[in-house]
Amino acid sequence: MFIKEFEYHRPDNLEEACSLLAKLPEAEVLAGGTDLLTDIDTGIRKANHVVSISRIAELTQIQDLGGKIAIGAACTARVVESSPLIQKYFPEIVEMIPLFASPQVRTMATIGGNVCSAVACGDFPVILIALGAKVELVSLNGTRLVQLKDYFLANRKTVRMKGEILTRILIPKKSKTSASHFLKFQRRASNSLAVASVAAFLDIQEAICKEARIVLGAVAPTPIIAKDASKSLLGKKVNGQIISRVAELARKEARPINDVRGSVDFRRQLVYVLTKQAIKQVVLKCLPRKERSDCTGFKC
Amino acid sequence: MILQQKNGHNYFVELTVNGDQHMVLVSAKTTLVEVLREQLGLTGTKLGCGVGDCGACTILLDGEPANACLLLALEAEGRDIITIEGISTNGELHPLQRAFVNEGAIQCGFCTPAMVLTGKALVNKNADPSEKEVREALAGTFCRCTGYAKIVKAIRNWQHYNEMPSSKEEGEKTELAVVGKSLPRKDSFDKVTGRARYTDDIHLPNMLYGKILTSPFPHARILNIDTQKAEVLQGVKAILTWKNVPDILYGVSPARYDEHILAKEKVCYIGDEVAAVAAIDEETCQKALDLIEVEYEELPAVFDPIEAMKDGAPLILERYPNNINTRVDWNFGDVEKGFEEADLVLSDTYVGNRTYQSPMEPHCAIAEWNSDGRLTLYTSTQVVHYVRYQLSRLLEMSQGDIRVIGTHCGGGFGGKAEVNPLEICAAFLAKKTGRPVKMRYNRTEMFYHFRGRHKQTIDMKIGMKKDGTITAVQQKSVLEGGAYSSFGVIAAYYSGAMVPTLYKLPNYKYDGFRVNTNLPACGAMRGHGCPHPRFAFESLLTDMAIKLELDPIEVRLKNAMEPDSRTVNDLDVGSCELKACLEEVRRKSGWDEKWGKLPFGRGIGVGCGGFVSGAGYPIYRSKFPHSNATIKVSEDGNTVILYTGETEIGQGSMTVLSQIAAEAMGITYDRIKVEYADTDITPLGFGSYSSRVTLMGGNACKMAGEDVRQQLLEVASQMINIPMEQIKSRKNYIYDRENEKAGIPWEEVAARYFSENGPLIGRGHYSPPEGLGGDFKGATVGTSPAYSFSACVCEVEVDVETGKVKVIKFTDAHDVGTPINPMAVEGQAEGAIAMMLGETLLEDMVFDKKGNILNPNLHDYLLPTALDVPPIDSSTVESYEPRGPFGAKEVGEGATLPVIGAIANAIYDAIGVRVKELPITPERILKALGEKERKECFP
Repeated sequence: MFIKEFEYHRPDNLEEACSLLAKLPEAEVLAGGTDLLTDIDTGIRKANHVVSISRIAELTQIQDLGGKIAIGAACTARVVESSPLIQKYFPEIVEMIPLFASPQVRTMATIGGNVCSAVACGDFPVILIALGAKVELVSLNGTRLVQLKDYFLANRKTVRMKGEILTRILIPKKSKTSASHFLKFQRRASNSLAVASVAAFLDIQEAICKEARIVLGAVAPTPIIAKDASKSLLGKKVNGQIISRVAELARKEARPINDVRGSVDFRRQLVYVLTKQAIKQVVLKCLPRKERSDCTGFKC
Repeated sequence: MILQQKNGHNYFVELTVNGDQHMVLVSAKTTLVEVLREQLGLTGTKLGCGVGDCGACTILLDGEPANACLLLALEAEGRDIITIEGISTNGELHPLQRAFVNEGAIQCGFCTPAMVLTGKALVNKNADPSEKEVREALAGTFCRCTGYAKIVKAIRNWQHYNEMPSSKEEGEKTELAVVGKSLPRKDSFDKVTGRARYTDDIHLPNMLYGKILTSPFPHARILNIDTQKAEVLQGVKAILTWKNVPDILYGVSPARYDEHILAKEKVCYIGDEVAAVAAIDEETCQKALDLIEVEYEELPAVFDPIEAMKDGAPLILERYPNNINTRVDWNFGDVEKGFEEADLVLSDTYVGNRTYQSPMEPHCAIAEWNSDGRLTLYTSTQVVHYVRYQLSRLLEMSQGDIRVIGTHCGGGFGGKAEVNPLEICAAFLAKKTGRPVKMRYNRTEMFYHFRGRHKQTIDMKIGMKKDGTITAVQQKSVLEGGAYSSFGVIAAYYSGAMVPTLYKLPNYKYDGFRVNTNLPACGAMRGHGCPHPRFAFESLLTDMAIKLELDPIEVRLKNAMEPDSRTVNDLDVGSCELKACLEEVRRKSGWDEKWGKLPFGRGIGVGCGGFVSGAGYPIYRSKFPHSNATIKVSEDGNTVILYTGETEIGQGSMTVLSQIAAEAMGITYDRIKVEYADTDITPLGFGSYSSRVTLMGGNACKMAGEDVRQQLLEVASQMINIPMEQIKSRKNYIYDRENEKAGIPWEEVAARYFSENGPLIGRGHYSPPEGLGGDFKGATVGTSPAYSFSACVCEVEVDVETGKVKVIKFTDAHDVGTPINPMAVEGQAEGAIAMMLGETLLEDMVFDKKGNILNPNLHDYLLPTALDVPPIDSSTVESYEPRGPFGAKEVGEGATLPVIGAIANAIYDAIGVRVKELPITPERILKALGEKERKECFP
């Protein structure tokens, strides 16, 4: 790597970090560094200044805020997967992390970094959007909360403005009747980027779907909610027939590209299959055993 | 806690590494791996890709594995860093390290530090991990050699090594004391502790770095090169272009030397070498390269071999009309008659893939000119001798004035079997600057340098009688070769030469075309030219068996080569136990219960393979023995040093050669040391290619050992007063065969010899038998003193919705003669299977329309991880090769050959459609399933 020289800053607290970011030209936030360093190396991002937030205490904690869990943006994937709070409230995130990156990268890469990098094939955003997460953005001008689904503008472009730091990710706790599941198709078993990924969140009350979010990853410039697919579940009894129809809608809503990892058609097919499988998994998770038999059309 | 002292862009930072505090001066962008390797001298942490893909730079960060290449040194401040050097204490190995040594978990050693550290992090938390837990923990570190099997085993069994294990030489009583035993590798201690020095781990005083400027165009004329701006850049010491290097072509095969040291009139692929720079560091080199102005005139380029052969296609090198670099035209027997005799004739077209060896260690070379005008070159190579030969041609100096030292080599697989531009440019830059020069490729540069597998398009046609007897085979191979010849001429011949070696083919016709294109040059890769034709043949053979309602294993048994046969293309097969291999895999895999009986989506398939045990003829003509060895016994007789010019690239050849020489002398394994691949001190050896070292190097070492023993027996005979014929030397003891008690320690005899005669030296050499092969053009390719054989059964599960293939199990059996070191043989077989699993399902170099590689990295060029490779049940069958040392022959390359066919056939069995193009990707499977559905709906 022949990275251009930059200046390194390690502020002690959030306020200091915000003021550094506000005043320094071409400054990048460094959390885990696994994306940032390779991006600087390949010229995708330019940085004259790098502001490390990896040791700011409030950004490395996971807290129970009652109705929601707040994950500090600088928490590494390993911290997240080892957290008793996450294990208790969001096992779907814990299940997703081994698919996210290699054990070594998981030691360094952070949840906030994965969100901020905003690459099409990122994994954390997909499950987090399905869970209805919000992100907290802090700058010298104050704090704002943004729905994660509205956070991404384009590949590597987000609503985060200069001087803003993504500080926390807030995830509402699920009701007893809801569940979610993340699936990723990668060409090899581990340590590779998503060809397509799907996360499904459903709230099923008395066998009827009351809330649904089907989120697609790596098949559009940003993670997207398959709106038609999600909507078509509402008020319905989730059975095999519905699931196939929903998956078909998701397939249509995907906007993939051809690249070395997969073609447009293949990615659409993956969206279809992963959507079906993800919804089935959610149904298994959120329905009491006796109600599962009502979901005809697939094996429970 | 922050200890930075700002000084421009530089910072002082205190790092805690292996419990020691180090104050280092770094720049903000300095990564931890740079500090560890270059400032602290902790070179056990390897640099394999620099972008967090390969895992070679793994360290423990507060107890968890992390990539040191992605961690800024400044960010590591205050964290607890453990490197491989911190795992053993006072020279005593940690039990986990002992497990790696004794379970055979180490080959080239480049990933070993990372594997040990990730294993350590795991067992710290979970002392008795499951197979799955171990594989998950290892999934971030690639191993290209072992197939992960023995690494997983070592980590799972680590607690068995809390105590030192007893020597494997003890135990069972066998006639042979050292040969045939699964002894730990000679270099395992160094490799498991991070001490083993690879070329990039060497730092010479006053050393410069070098880098190469490469072409951005696939085909262009060079109009002008202006180096003025680069020359005046601070820190630049020398710049080379074609103008200041000799105008001598080089390559592999003398008839096809077609590469310039640096491009002269034109460039022929993106990556072609144009200029080279030496400077105080690599970054300055890069800046200088950016300042070199090259004026190009773009020429039309051609990337497809069929297009390239057409009249009017852009001509890449004038000496090859229609870009046909090599044309093979073989016709043995009468194929037309053979097809007439057949009850079934089938033909099909199969397409291979461009795959890259991807050794975990990037190429690296250091050149240094000595005051007496001699050149020393340290390099990561498979062939010190050929490197020296080419350098002597290019530098126009005698071979004796060049010393090539092969350091530890982190994998080759054919990619380091020829001289490379780093070795050449480093020599010229060092000469010009009078200072040592180090040059190394990064991962992307490795892909552009390439010399990997040719992509072959194969038309295969087989004629068969109802009972499965093969009557004729016709094959046409088009090899897409890239811009230059490299090993391509040999690949083109091998593509045909090895097809008739497995089965008795009465008639065989082969047309081969090796075609130049404007892409990186293809070379020799493990199994050289043979895996794709073998894939074609084994696929078609199974299809025909099914059509004739015969069991695919029965058909193979029916046609299997027999011992002491001459093939239709005049190759002499000696020992041959292919039938035993087939019977073994049939039994162990439960074939009879599974074949044709598994549910849809699940399948089983078989494939066979085999390879030469060393090429019968040298690459360039010489009468020199192919392998040579000397042995020097210390004056006290306690230590024996074996000198061999062969190389160790991870396959365990130095261990095997030591075992052979020790056995021949009658000493134990602990007494023999080995020095290898140093052209000043080791005798000529052709090196590690064509799977030649065990047989050829082994024979030379055996002869040298016998020479020592013979000299000692004469002395012993006088000492104990027993006739020489009656004396035996075994396990450091020389004694009367008829009365074991009448004997004396080996070392006493050796010391006596020295006292009376001076140095005790043994000499050995080996040349293949004369006159191997037939009398036709290209008949030398495929000749060998002996051939290996193998069979492989694979079971798969295919997800028909996504097309994803999950390989469940491999069962393979090999005829490698009598193994010298069974554990090393297993390691070769397991590694070959994992590599070919990758080539069958994952690996493919993809180019855009301009000849750029779209995946020159290890996140999109997909090597299998520990989680991709299933359990492998590998075994050998009883066999003895009279031409091999103690009955041994090759395994390293032959073991790759049955694998593609086995997987392809298993997929066919699972879903009833055949994918004839590699790699067999999920997309291709879905496409094939879709076509089948369409055909069934609209016949």
